[in-house]
Amino acid sequence: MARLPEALRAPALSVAAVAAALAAGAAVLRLAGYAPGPALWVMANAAFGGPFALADTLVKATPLALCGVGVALAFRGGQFNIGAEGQMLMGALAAVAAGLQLASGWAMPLVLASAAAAGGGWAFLAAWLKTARGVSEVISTLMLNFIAFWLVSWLVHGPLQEAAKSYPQTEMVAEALWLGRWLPPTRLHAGVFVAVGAALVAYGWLFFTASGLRLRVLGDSPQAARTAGISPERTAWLALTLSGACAGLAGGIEVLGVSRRLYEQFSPGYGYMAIAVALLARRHPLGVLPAAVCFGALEVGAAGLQRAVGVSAGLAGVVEAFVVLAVVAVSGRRDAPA
Amino acid sequence: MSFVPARLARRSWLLCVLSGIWLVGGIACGGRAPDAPPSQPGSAGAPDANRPDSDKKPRVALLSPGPISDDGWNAFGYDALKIIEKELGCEVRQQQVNDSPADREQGFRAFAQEGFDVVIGHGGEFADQALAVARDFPNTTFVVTAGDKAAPNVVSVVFDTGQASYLAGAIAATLSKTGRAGAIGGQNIPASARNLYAFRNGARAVNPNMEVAVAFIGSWTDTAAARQQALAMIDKGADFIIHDCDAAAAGVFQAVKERDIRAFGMQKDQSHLAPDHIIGSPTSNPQGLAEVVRRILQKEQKGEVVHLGLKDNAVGFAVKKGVISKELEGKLNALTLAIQKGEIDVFKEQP
Amino acid sequence: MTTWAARDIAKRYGAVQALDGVSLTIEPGRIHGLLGENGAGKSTLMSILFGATRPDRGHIERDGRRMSFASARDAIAAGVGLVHQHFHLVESFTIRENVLLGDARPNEARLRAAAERLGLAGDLDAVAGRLPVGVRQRAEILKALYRQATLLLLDEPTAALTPPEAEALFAFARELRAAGASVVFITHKLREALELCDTVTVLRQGRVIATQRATEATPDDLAAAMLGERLAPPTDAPPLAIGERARLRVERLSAASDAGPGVEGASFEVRDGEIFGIAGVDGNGQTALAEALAGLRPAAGRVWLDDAPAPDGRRARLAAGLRYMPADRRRAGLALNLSVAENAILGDEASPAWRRWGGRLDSAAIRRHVATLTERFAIRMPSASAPVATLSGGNQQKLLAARELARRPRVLVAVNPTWGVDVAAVAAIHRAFRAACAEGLSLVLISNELDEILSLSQRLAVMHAGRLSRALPPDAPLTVIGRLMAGDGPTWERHGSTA
Repeated sequence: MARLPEALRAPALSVAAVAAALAAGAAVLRLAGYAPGPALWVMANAAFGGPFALADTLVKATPLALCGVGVALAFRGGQFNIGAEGQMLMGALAAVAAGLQLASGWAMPLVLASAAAAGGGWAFLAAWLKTARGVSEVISTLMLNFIAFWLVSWLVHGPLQEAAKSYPQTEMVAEALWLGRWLPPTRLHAGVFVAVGAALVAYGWLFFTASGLRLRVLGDSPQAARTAGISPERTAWLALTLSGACAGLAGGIEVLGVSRRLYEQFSPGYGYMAIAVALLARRHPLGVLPAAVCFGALEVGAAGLQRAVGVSAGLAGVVEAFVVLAVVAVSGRRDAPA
Repeated sequence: MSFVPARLARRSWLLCVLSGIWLVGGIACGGRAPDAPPSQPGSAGAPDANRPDSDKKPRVALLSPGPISDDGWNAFGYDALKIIEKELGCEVRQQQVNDSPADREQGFRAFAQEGFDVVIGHGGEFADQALAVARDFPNTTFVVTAGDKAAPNVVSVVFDTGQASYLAGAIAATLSKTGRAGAIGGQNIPASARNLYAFRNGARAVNPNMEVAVAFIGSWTDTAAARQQALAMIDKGADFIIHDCDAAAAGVFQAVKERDIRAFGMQKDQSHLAPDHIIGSPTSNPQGLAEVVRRILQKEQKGEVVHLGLKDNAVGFAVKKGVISKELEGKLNALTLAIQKGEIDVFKEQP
Repeated sequence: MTTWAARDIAKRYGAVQALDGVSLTIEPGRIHGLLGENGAGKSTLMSILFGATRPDRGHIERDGRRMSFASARDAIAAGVGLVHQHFHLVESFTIRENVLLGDARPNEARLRAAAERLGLAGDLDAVAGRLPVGVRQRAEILKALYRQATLLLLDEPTAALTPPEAEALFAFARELRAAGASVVFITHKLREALELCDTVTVLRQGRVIATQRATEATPDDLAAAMLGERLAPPTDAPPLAIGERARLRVERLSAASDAGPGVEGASFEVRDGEIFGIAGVDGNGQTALAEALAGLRPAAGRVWLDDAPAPDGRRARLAAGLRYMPADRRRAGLALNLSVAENAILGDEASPAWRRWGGRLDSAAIRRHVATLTERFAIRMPSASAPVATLSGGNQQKLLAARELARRPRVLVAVNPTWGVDVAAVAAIHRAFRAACAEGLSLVLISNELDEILSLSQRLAVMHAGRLSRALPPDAPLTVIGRLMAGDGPTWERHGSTA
């Protein structure tokens, strides 16, 4: 590694992380009595073999990318936001609440904006608790995740439950608000471009503006930030709020692009997996895109493994978890804020 | 290519890891895995290696909302799938999907895209996604068990297990000393609710003053909650309990054993789970689901909501021997006959 | 009765020879003072005696027998007890729990006896964190006594104590001496050393400069031994022309500190073009003073900039032209993982010189700015986009100085600006300071390098225990400066002002 040029070092580490992850997954499969090579091949095929598989992977990657950009922003600013899950739920909640009131396609930006605002607001709570009350954002964002989850649970069982009252879920938002689908009958929707756009904007802001620079200084050295006249409080607010807004947007996009409604198990842990995504991307907004595709492929591949080989859901989950752990083990050490 | 399960490695961890790295290396270096599968996505790892492309077996897939080892609802679906494989000569696959519409839709799409002839979504909650996906895949038929919706290529199959629950209610009302019974559901979904209220209807048909408490614990797997709920009902005097809460029922049976009262199983004959306490189980016959799939494959089944009950032999009631008196047995037979003839609507009274 | 000795101990850390052949005999029933400036090697020697550091050369002897300590555990077993300057007590544990921590076979009788000697018998079950500092320190000593230490090392023990607490400590040290133990008393306070110790050893730059009986030593001798021969201010640099106006005026400034003494009523003024030196041993409130001046630390008292009250807060002081070079460049000065270019504009990142539409940064303008700085200061770096961490310490410090001087500030507060950098970088930074002052900069130079202060400053003051002495000329007698640094100045000097 020592000979690699500086610019290639971070990507090389990420590639090493993915390789280690695959090895870990293979080892788990082997222990469970499956031939790992063909099984991994099945996973790869389920995730990338053909337009349908690719579309599914991208659909899964979209919320991961948006949350991942958010987490990467927070980490860059030295804020350990592990609350993307809750911020995403609040975003989805706001999107559904707004989407049920507004039925016109023109309202789509408004719906997405309210999702981002809700996610950002949820994260701002943690930021405020940190600067005003000294509560570690690790604790507060995690707690806010639980609150968001139970809030959604209560709402879909109660006030926001569909009129038919059959299932714990809300009504669907108006069809006019649904994001356009590409390549039907796949589920690929326009949210993919929102994710790419968000990553590009985050990249430009983080590395090419004065306020982005201030955020990174705070993340790298809070003392140096203070010396340079940067307010740690306000910058932490900004980092967490922007981070939450990205996650909230992910929730909004997921509602308009995939689920069309809100229900209890809305997120299969996208917000948590986004932490691994951000670490694999080495906290770089553009790196988040391939990293999110990796993790989206992992989700789709694990389902494919079940479908094709009959690997039980539990074992597929174990393989997935081991892969995530390997990624974090190789790439996470230096990148998580202290 | 075949998926002979490798012998569980008894060698060291290191070897496992090394072999993993070797395999990964092989793939990463641009090599194809040996026996590179056909390009069709997803079919790569078909367990049946020798499926000739010309003589195409019909393919049927099952989406389970929970683990097939639950000895209840999901096991029932899997039993049906096994029958479909054996008796209809189909190639079958099964996948467990998360409890979320997005994942259910993805499951439907994935199998449909692979060209499966029939995809079964096992539970009424699959109905909306089946309708949504069915539009995109007219050549695949989607079956929703306990569903309430239909389309040209969407068939809902409803097992009216409630007809048997009605009989259970009648037994409870006849044998109860306290005049009270309890019914515990998992999540409050229509299929489950109908089932439990049919139990109440049956009980009240025998004893109009019978008190039957109905409660939902909000989960299909939370055995602790199920036990708490059962204990609460027993403490209020219930001496019979019926459940429809799938894997969480273990908690109900635990409570029943602790307080030594009697209970009913559900879905399958569950008497082995508490032999001294379970006196009968309303059952669904997986053969009924297999029969619907057979009709679909032979183009005999149009898209509709199919109700299966006692008269189709798709719903039954497994009674423990020696518990039921001759007199009661006669009464039950009469009720069964009336239900089969359609003279009794077991679902008449709903909350 | 045990005699301890260090024989020809040497230890090197990177480029720094911390200890260079130190030999020392510590006799039983004696209190042995160890004196020296920051970086003289006192702490390293303690650490080696306590087994926490292994020497490169030399060894420890107990009664003439060679000891080999693999860790502090070995040293404790051999009878060495160390009382750290910063206590190592578990604050939520009681004193008893703290003392018995890690002892497989607690001996209650011995604990009671030791506690009674220290007057701690009543506090054994009190929670450590709630006790006053003096009691906590005695608990540390109790740990050593309970383990039957024959050599007790006290590292700057009075730094955190009130005078009565210090008196109590001294009384106890004398009692231990009477009982036959050896006590090593590490300090930079001359008066304390002379008052308490039987023998005094002065360390300077890792060598033993003098070992004397305390009764034969004078404060002046010891101060001179500690400070050594000083270079005269370099004569090649022309004297700076100092303006008449007070650019910076500080009146009775007081500020709390996170650890150690804060600032107590410091007053001074710096004229335009002047370099005002503040000398002192580290940890006497310099950081608090610098941060209070920079606007980073809330403070009482008044600060005037060009006859106008200085605004509060770092950002506002920055805008008013008050720049700051913190002592810890790696943590407080630079963001190590950010690029050279990004670090070069920190604090000025919103400057219109490179601000474009929408808050974007004009990278071309920044590159030009960085090129100017690196050329002027001869900063060597892989590229402007390389992380600052890849630069050597000297180049990092030059970058920091270049950044702070780039925008022609009115005042610069620099703390230890040449600490740990190579000779060439020291010269470059000093040249830059002089050049900037020639153009009107007022420099507050806070440094523990007395040479640096003597060679650069037009006037200087000495900081000790949070108090600033009156301003002195740079040719003030070394003994005076040395005694002020050691806290031995006449009171009128400590409370002096520039008035």
